[in-house]
Amino acid sequence: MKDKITMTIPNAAEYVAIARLTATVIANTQGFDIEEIEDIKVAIGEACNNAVMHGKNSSNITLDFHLDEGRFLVEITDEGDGFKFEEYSEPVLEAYEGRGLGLFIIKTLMDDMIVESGMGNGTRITLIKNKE
Amino acid sequence: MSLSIDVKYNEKKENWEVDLVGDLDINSSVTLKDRLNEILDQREADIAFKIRDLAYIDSTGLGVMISLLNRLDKNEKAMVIMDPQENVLKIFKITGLDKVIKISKEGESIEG
Repeated sequence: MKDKITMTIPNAAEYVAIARLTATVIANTQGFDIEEIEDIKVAIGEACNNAVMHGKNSSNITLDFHLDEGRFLVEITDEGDGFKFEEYSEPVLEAYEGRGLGLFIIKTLMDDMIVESGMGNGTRITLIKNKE
Repeated sequence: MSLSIDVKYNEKKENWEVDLVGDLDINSSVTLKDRLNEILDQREADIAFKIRDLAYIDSTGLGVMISLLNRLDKNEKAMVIMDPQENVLKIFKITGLDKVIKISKEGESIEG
């Protein structure tokens, strides 16, 4: 079994930067280049933003970093109400109301994004970036 | 890093100059939005963002820029973003916002 690093942060906006910075340290350790590390940082930030927006007060966000060779894989799990991913549509800039842009950014920057969300059961977002 | 917001009105250019240093993210975007609405309530004018030392921007920061653009458009005012770092510029580009927001680097306009 591969090694794994788990971190738990309170589900609040002021802790998202800590998760982002931790992700950059791990990606750096795994040998990603500067641009890839920056992409990973933004994607983890957006996934945590999503957790904060949909999460409950006084709950946590858990990040499981799987130290696989050749790729960056993180699972980000919140204890929120979940959201209907099927209803997600890509943002239309002209009519932008502040929703959906974060997931769009993640999809652009990462090689894979898996969203598992059940109403009332929280959300798990898995992000994968392969090393070039 | 948190966000530092420095605002002044340039009487000669008749615009607001807003210096942003640090991270514009989910933890600072509401503060920036409130501050911008405050200064525009005080005086409706063009806004120039100087963001050479802005290290990070996320979707909530972009959201502030979009709602600001809507307000400025309504009042026939303009905004410009000056000297973004490469990583910040990339976020504007992948979201297509560089097509609707004027971005300039060292006085040169960047075509989207």
